[in-house]
Amino acid sequence: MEDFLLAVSLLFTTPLIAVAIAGLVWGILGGALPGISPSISMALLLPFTYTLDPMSAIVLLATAYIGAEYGGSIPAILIRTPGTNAAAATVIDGYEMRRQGKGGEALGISLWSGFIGSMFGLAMLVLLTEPLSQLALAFRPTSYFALGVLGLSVIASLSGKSLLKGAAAAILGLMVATIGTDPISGVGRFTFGSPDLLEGVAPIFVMVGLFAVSELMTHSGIAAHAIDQKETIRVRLPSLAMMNRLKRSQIIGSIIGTFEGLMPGAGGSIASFLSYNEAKRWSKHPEEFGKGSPEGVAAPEASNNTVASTALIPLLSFGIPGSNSAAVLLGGLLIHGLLPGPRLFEENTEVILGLYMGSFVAIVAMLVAGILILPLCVWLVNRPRPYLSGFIFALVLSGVYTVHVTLFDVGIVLVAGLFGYAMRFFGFPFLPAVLGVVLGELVESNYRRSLVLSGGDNAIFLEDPIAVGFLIVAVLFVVLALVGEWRSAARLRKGVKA
Amino acid sequence: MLASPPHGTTGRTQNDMRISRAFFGAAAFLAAAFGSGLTLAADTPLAYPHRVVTLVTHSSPGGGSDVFLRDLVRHLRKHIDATFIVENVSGGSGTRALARVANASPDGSVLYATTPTYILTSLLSQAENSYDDLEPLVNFFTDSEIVYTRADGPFMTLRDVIDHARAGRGRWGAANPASLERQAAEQLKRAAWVDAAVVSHEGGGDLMINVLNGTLDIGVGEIGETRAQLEAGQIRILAVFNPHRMAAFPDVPTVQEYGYDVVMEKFRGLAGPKGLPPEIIAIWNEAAQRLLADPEYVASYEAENLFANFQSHDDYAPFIAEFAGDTEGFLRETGVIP
Amino acid sequence: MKKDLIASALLLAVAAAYYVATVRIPVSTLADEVGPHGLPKVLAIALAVVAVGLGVRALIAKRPVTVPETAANDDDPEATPLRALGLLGIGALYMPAAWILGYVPALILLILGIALYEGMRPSWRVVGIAIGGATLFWLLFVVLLGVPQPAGLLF
Repeated sequence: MEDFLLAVSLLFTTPLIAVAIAGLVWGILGGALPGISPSISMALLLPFTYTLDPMSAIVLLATAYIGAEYGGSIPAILIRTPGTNAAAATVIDGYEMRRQGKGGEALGISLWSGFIGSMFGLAMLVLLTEPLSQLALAFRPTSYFALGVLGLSVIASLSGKSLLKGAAAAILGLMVATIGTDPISGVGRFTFGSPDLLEGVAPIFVMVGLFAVSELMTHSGIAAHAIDQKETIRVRLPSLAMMNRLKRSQIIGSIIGTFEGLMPGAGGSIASFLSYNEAKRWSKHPEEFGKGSPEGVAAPEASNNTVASTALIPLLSFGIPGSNSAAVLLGGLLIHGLLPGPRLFEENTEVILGLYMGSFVAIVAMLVAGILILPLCVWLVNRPRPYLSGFIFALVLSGVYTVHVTLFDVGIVLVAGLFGYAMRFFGFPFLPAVLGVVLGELVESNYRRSLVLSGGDNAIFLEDPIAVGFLIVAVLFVVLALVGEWRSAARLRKGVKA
Repeated sequence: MLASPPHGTTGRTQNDMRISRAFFGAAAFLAAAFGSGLTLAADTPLAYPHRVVTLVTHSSPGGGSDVFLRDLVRHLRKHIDATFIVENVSGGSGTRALARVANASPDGSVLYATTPTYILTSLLSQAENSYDDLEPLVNFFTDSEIVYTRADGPFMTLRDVIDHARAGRGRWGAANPASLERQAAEQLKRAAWVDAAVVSHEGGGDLMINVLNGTLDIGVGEIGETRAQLEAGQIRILAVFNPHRMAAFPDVPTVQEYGYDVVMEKFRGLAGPKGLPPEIIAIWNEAAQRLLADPEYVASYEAENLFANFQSHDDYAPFIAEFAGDTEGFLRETGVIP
Repeated sequence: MKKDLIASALLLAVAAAYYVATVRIPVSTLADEVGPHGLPKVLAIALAVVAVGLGVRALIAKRPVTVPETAANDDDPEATPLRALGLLGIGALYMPAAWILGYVPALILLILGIALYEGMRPSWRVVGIAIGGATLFWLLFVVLLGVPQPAGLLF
């Protein structure tokens, strides 16, 4: 109670509100620009925090994180370009909704779901840091391997019409993930001596290339593609009935997001895809997924916004950053002489309370900011198509350049675009490829790490209950998807005969 | 974090991790710097032929070398009469920054912050410019590489760890695959003739979790990145790879004291393009010594367990050459590079 | 199903090329039992198997069991491959342009080129929009965010 009063008083005695809103808006901007990831947005703010008081500095960084995770969904929906890795799953139904002239509704859903997810995550952070931090420690290399396999198993149900093609796409994605420095031995793989490839191919390049560039290519010269139903592009929050419908997918997203946030190395993108898949499984309208389902936007957005808060749990409790974004926040803490860990809560109560309060302010402000910013974004994407294509291309190529500051990466994105076009031409699904790129290193490095630990004995996975649980669920996913495919094929065949 | 594409968190590359790790040590380092006030030093700054000096680092804003440079610059102004600018040249695992300096004019207006990373990166990639194209100028510090274990674990000394590894199979951890820490762990393993699994990670955070949850017996890492756990009493330092004991932890023996001839020094200094004029070298030799004796700077770096380890140009060049030779030998011997 | 046959052949080629490239991965004693080659070899073989599977299925399927291949895009007109590749080509020209001319001039050319390619009639208005757009991006990335963009060799 005392803490609560102190927290509320911070609102009036410190510039908390202004700082939180500034951080949020900056984050949304960074998140919405492809290539400027949440952690880059935060790192760009870092120099400004040197002169701020510790609390404001932390609030600024944390709210930028919240804003960035939300901002990534805006280009995902409007121009099929995920602004952040974690927004890749939002592309599926978000962009489909926009194509159907329901872009404004999709933006409203993503905003609302981001709000719910962020609030849920903040509640977890405030109330359950202690028990959840213990859970974070329980994850071993074996658990991470199993988590990655679980993520890959989603491919079976995201492959669309042909499992074989889905498998091929996934393998191509995994192949891209093997480029770069080997995670265990440190030798270069497929780098051909190029320093630009030592760090591997960033997943965002593949996503932007596959989704955005291939989309521009496919619809080159087709003017009719622009949206003309003017009345539906107004941004609007979901109606009560819609809120009710979204509830289930948001809960799924928030819970999955909470756990993924806890695991260093897992993070937003796996959470988004798993949430998307689960929302589909438990939805009353699974058939709408992939064809513009509101729930398909709600689940990943709730999930990646939850991660922005729960990723702070291992950071604040142990000083272990769960993601690159959390690492930047750690930098901010250390610069101000704050050492994360149990003592932080006791000795710097004010900073922690400020962080909670600032996040709260930012999340509420997100709704307002969204309603103010989104109409501008919608206006922008309703310019004549030739200009729009040019601007999207310019945005994408400028954004990816900022990641490593090299034109080489621009080339990677264009090659990914070519691949995306070819995949589309031959009827291969993108999502398995994206999952392969995102999960490849997690799965491979933790499998090998586990075997190094056990001296080559695969039984080590059976000793870890978390790993066993994940692996069983993964097998179930695949079997269910196979049965589903077999059934629908059988039904189709019957229909053809009759 | 411009250097690293922090794209979500799963596709973490080695460089991302190196940078987030760097945050631990270096940011804490800057933190200490903020603690000390700023007053003017008594002696007058040395004259310098350039008004503006650019200090280049491969590290992104907030990363290890970046923070080292920014703190250095803050105090350096009192000792050299010039304006210092820190320039972050990220990308290509650090090779881009090397190229930037190697191709600059060798007049002392562009310098580079050295760490073992620049040697490792040069050796691991076939980039156009390598450490060989730079001329080491002066060294400032040595960072401490330590062996640590969880506080509630069974290992009280490095001897216990070695005995355990000899009896069964030890599980040791290092932060990154081809890093100074990995090299230290591998060399210790050989020196002690034990069969231990050396598990490399994707950064110090990963490694710390696996030490804390008992997956690993020990971790090898920089002391800066273990500060939070040290203060919370969650880990215990068993040994240090420095040639001498650490001032802040006089009870922690060196690895050499245990009878294993493994020494690792993570150096921090400056280098320039090949062919620096002698007067520039002389100015830096003088300024570096003055700087390291500056009481305010001393307070700031000692809090971070950085050892002042001044090496003049005459010593530093052979030191770097020897370090590079050793590292290259290790990488070739283990087949990481052909 | 002809498309599937071509895709199968292409995938086989990718699998083969990738397998050959794994040979260039150095062997290190720091490697574990699986090694840096482990996963790549498995992936190459798996891709080859899947590719063969696709090919065989395409050959034996007398009539398509699954109805149209791109069902989602039925009603959606698509550009011809040549036209699509042309757009990518303009994007590719951005690289040398940015390298030589620098960020803003390259962006102007990119926006201008694409706008014309996509059917805008040449006019000063198009040029104006390209210049304005490039300036806007420069303001956004370089001035506001402070992230570097290509400098160019000429200036």
